[in-house]
Amino acid sequence: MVTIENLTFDYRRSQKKLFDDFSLSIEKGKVYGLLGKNGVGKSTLLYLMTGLLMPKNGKISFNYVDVAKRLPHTLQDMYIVPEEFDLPSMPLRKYVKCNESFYPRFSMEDLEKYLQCFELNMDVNLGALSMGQKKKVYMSFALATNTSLLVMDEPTNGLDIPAKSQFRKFIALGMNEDKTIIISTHQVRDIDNLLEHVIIMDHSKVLLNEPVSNICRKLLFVETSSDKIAENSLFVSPSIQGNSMILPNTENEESAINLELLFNAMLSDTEKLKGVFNN
Amino acid sequence: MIQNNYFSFERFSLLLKKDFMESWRTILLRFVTLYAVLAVVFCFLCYKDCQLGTIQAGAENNVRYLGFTLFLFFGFGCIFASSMMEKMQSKTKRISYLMTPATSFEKYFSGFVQVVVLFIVAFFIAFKLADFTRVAIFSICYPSLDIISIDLRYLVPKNGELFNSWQALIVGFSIYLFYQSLFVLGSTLWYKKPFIKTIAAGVVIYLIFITINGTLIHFLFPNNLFGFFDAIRYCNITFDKISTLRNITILFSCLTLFNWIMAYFRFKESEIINRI
Repeated sequence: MVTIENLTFDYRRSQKKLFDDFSLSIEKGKVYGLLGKNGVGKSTLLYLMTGLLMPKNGKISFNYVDVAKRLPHTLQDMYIVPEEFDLPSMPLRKYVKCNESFYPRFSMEDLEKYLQCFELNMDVNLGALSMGQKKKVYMSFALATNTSLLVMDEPTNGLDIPAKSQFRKFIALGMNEDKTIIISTHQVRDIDNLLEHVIIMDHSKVLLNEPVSNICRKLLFVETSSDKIAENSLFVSPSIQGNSMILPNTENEESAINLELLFNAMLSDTEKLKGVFNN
Repeated sequence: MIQNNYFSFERFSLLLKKDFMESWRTILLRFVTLYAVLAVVFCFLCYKDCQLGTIQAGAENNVRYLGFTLFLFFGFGCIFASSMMEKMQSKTKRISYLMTPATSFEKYFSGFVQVVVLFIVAFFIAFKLADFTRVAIFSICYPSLDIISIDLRYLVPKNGELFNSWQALIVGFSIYLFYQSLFVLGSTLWYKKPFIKTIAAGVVIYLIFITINGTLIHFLFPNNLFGFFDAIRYCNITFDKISTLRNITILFSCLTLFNWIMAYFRFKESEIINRI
């Protein structure tokens, strides 16, 4: 669906290249989590994928079409929810009326359904909403466009506590096999149950690019109150309960993915964990 | 589903509709400002005429009003042109605008139609309304005087002296379009404060142009500017009025077209991070 080939990109004022010969492929019908430290270029990558920035070298294609061309046919099949966005001050119905025609698969029923997820309705004025509410409306509209690609940059930032669980329900409700959703976030606990594929980036490199099912098949995430560290642990992090550990999943046991632990493990000992996946 | 990836009239209409629906308050406010400025200027001129008793129908009075109107038309035309890319003013606005499913040309053309074509229509309506306001106010305040509307026919050569020929009127309009196109180009180069930055850049370029020309004339001709004119006389170059006006029109039209094309390509290559 999205193919990034040998991408090179830098900001003019920056001393070094943000991406150098970077390649990545995004498949159809999955919810991707894009994780990385501050400044590694997650948002930049999302902007490049949607044609909002132009690569210095290399090519980014969406359904085999170069995104840098910004063709209407491409733009009507992708939507970006940036961390900060702009909504005009007008009634939501009016906003929908002047934007829906651009998206051939837009569904009003879906929009109402998604708004209900966030306890909102169609009879709101965008100018009278708080930032968090605007984000809920914006995300609902984005998902209701039913574009093949939905890119979200820090979608849970600015949302209240109930909205974080509502967000999980919202994504689950809107997801189907024709859609791909890429979520870039630092709030991993808000999305860890949603993800089907994890991409961890660090300085122009992809440290991990694996389906969640594969991660859970190869790794075992354990919370233990004991201070005793398992001899064969791949990564250990002290927690309030005792220790959080990643172990090789030799017995095919089931455990829920701990994204925070996995992320820290990948950054601290990349080769060790990469070795597990390469075997 | 519209499949045309170059220009679709349907998509262009949707874009215009979206622009108007989302920013109708700003558009209305600008129109009211246009009307208010014109009305204030006309009322001030009319008040002076009424006080001095110089109010009269005919060429002189109309030409004076039309002179001020053209000055404001030129000024507002440039100001409005510099607002053409205000949808690209901030990063959030740029994301929203660049992600709208329409071609770069449709987006550019939608802005162009608003600030170049629709501005002329809006200015004409504001002009008529301002003139009616002047006539209404002063007819009530000075019932003994015969206050009449400004006659637009005095713009054209048959009736007045503002432009002494049709060619001169066309030259005037082509010069207006050229200056306006500079502000259109400026709006694609600088998203923030484009009007001021375009004027500043224009002044700098003008000063450089004058300096280079002055230096060249100084070195090439012994008596400076007089020497330059002597050289023209010596070469027996004569200027036929009609062909000169036609050449000026062609020159300014070409420069205008060049600026519009430059502005389009600059917009087409724009990104959410302004790298200029």
